[in-house]
Amino acid sequence: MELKKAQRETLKKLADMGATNAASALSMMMQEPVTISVPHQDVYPLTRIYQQLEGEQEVVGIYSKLSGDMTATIMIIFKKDHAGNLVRVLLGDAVGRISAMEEMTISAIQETGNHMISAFSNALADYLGIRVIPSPPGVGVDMAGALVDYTIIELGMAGEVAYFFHTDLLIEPGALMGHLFLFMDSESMEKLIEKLDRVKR
Amino acid sequence: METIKVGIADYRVSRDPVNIVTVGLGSCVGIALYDPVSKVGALIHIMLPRSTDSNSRENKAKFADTAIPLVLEEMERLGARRENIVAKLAGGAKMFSIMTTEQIKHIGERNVIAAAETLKAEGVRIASMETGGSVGRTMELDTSSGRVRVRSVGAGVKEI
Repeated sequence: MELKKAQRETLKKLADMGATNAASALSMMMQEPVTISVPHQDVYPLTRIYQQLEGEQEVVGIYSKLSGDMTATIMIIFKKDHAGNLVRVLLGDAVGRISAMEEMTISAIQETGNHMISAFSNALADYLGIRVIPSPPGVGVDMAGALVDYTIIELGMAGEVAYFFHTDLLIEPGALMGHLFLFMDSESMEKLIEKLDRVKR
Repeated sequence: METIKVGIADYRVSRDPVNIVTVGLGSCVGIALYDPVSKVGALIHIMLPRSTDSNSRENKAKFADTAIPLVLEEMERLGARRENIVAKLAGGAKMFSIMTTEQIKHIGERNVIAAAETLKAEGVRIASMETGGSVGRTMELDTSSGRVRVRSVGAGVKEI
């Protein structure tokens, strides 16, 4: 699907807005400033999305599927050390070892994900005047490639390409905390474009 | 020895001594095929069980049922013999407890079953499997020896 320049601009603005809101939700929980990098967005072959990840790096992944008037998948990936810091802030110094899937740790991360994903989807819903319902987030601690492949599989049922939005989550100048991804198949993208075109710019 | 990477929905075949690696298998399945006589080896990284599972079927390497026959033929063209080829499987995990749609809930398990069924239909024996559970895996085939190593977070490296 070819996007017009104006549509691309609006999409970028939309995703940027969602990610900014998600970052500020995270910032509130972390009690320190979190910003986002200049987002990348494009229509990518599924195989290339996979190549972009450091596949074997151990990370904490949060996954949620958006439904309602738009369909998309959000994936937040935290570098393990930073997820550990996050859990320490939320639960106190005693906890924070992420390697073991302790129930408390996972639920703290899930809660963080919930806040971020709600902030993201609310921003989109408000701007477009549509209903966006995020699923309860799933949390996994493992290789980045292994956590993302499920989403790629799901997109692979629909086609060979996906609309892909990516931004880095940054704390302090330069320190990468993690990534936020939004994935959409072509059909979901077309539906979203219809909604975008109806919004007054 | 040279290391060759295999991406998702992709495969590599070699008759030279190389390491063929695929990184971060979650619900996807890695299929290592090896003929110890001709030393022709292959590694496939499939993402879906059957070509009927997708609306988009151009890439045969995406599906267990179309990738395996394709790769076996390519191995035979490089001198492998079907009756010598053995298979080893890794992956097919369930990475998240929350899986939204029914269609995809058991995708890892279905990938493993489809790979096993296709191998059986093609007359290839499965020598070993490291599948299921909820761990990501990296799989490596050494075509000089046919050894397959599987690496996972927590469990380290294991030869299968």
